[in-house]
Amino acid sequence: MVQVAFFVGAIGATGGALAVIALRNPFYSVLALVVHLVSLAGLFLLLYAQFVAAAQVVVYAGAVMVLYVFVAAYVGAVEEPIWEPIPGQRFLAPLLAVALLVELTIAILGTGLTALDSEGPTVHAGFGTPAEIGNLLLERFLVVFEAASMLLLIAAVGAVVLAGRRTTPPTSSASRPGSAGSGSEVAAGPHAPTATSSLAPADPPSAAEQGG
Amino acid sequence: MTFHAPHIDYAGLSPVIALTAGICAVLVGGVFSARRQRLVVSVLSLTTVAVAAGLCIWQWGEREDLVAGALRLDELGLAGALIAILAAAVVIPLSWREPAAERPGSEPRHGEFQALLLSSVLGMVLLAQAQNLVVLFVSLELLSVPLYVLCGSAVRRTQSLESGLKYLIVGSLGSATLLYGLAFIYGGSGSTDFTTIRDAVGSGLTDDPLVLIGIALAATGLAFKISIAPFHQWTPDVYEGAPTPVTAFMAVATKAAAFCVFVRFFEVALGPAVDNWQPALAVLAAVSIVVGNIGALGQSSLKRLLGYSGVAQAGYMLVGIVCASALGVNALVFYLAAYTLMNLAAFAVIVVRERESGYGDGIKAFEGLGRDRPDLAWPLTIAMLALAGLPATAGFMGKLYLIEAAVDADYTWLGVAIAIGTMISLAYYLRVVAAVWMRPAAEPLAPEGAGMPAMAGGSPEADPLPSLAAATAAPRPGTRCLAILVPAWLMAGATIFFGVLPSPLVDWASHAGGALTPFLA
Amino acid sequence: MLHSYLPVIVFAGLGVIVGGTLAMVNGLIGPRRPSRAKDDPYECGLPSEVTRTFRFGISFYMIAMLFILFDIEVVFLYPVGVILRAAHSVFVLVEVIVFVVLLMVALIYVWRRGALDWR
Repeated sequence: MVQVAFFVGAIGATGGALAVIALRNPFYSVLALVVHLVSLAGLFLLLYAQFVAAAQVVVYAGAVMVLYVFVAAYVGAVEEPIWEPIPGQRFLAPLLAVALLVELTIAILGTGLTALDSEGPTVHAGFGTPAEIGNLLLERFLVVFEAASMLLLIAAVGAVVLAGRRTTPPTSSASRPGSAGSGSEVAAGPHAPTATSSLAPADPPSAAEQGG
Repeated sequence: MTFHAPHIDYAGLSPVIALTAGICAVLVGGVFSARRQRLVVSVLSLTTVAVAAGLCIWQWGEREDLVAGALRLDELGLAGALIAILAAAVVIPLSWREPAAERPGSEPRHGEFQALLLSSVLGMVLLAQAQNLVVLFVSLELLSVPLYVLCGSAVRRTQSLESGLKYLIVGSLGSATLLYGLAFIYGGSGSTDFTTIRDAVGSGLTDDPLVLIGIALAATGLAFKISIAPFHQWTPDVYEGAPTPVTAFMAVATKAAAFCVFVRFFEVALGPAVDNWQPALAVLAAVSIVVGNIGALGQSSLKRLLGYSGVAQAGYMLVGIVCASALGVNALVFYLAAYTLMNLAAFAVIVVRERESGYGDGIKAFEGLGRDRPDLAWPLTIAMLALAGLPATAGFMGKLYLIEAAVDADYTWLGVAIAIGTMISLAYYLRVVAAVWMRPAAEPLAPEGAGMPAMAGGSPEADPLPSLAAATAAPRPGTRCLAILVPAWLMAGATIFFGVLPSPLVDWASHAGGALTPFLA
Repeated sequence: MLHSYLPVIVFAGLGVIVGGTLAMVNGLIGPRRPSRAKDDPYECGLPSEVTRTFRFGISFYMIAMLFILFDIEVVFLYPVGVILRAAHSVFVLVEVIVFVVLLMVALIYVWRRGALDWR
């Protein structure tokens, strides 16, 4: 039973990952990534990491994927060539990837497989439950817990700094001739105060016009 | 399941707490003070920085584990923290007229700018003290994420956005590689605590394939952060594109914190496997010295030049880790401090010049500086000569200690590599000095950037160009900018001072090395 | 271990079987009279026009980004909430308050900068 679950999860994870890079439509890639992440969550479950599995589904397969869809939609479907256009990289990249694979395989064969026939680690009851994780977060990893909060704070600030609306002061929004090039605006620099003040009264009617 | 609250030594944790409180204050102060934002925010953040520095100095000499062994309070960590705090204290005034924070024609963003800077410092303080794989990774992210944002914060310059994006992608690649390595090390040794890993590795895991792969991947990830060749390609581009104050901060503070954790991780946790990582790091150091120095030769942008020079300097400093001796750690910490002083002096001058001349940070902007602006020419000259390692500067003493440590650890050839690298580096550092003193001033370019560049990715309708604000924000040539000149002179003065009288700094650095003595052969 | 998840597996299996069967039966025995309206991806309201260069506004992106941040916060708070009663200590409460206050600062910031306004 566990073996069946493992192979379902493993095939899902590998197949999903392959599909992410092989599919040409970015939306399909995102969906394949969801398959990959949900399969990974299943594998986590087999490793007794229940909370991690749940978090994986909630955060990655749920929230992060929504963001990916937005990004894919925002960037739009660009016709990407399916092969790497940089000539050297085209051959070098797979070569290095294979080298890494060989290296990792050697490492894993060297140690990991001695436990292949065993039942895995014996874990105590309650391992991987939210309560256990909560204890760890507040005992051993308290610094990490608070640092994570700080990281989220900074991420919010960063998102607003980079993607937030730029609020413009009221004076500049008034002095917006529809088709003026930047050159004429620079030239008008010294005279700008008078220009804006003369234009300012004209603003409310135009706004009302737009509103109507 | 029972819960046992960990013992918390609030005194030892006080710099971290002060920084956290300061960041919140700066952020909230920034959004609630629209009119005098720069003043309010700067007072708050400079106070935070001063308090944090004071607390670090107060805790100097304490050696203990903090919060269930997550952090290690010792001189090495505090030295890294102090360097990062110093860098932030200098960079805050540098950022006062930075368009990324000042935002001509738009609401100023000093609060965000300085809060991001401080949170990066917080990440560095945690990183320099980290004694646990999880803490290491989270604090590295806390260090990097604000920097990604800061690099791209000049949203009106395409190069800045490019720099932010490049740094984000390469930095994430480095972080992922590091995390992969940490996972292997955890898998091999079964622990995330540095000291427990040390015991596990020491008891027969030195040649364990899992641990070896972990070491290789972790070293690669850290090498990305400190821009060791061949993982340095992002450095010149990111340095050039980022707002100059951010570049200054990134160049010195990131290196200091990342080197501190590099030393602690490799000498403490992976100390028993020294025979396996030592030759690899030695090769990386040598490659970095060669690549950095040769790459810098043809650069015409001073920020790119300093980027490549940073690669070479990182190579020199890596020698301190390769030595795996207290002498090496001392030399490394000394060099980190010296590097901070020289680089901050140089970047302060670049910040001023970039705003005055139309040549940006190109070497043309510095021609004739000796005659027109001797107050700027001297700090730059001292910084360049110190980076090149001329005698009577802190850079010379630092290189001397590094070579001494290398020879002592039977890595004489690395000492020779440092010497050869220094000789090559003279070519490009002296080129800058020559431009400053021996060339006539270049024709002043009409600063075409007076109008504001359109926001990258923005549409003209949604992004009106407020010409008035841009015109007033354009700096007038000849402004004295005391807030920048004073730090520049202080840094340059300290560079000379510690070159002539190195003993205070040597003492300071040797405490840092002493903290690791129990773990060093 | 796996036995406690048996209901989940049964549930997922039933979902796949029932859903798949219904879809298949529908295709096999249902009448087939295609019309333009039926082929539309979304059948209500205005005729939808989905092109390859369809773009969302940046406001969606901003909200999604902030949603993720606070979503992750909940993931952190959940395990702590589970032990809050058993731990029965002021220390835990204080730590959780610090965590939440830091995010409160984020919320204040985001609100004051107008990132929550829909424009």
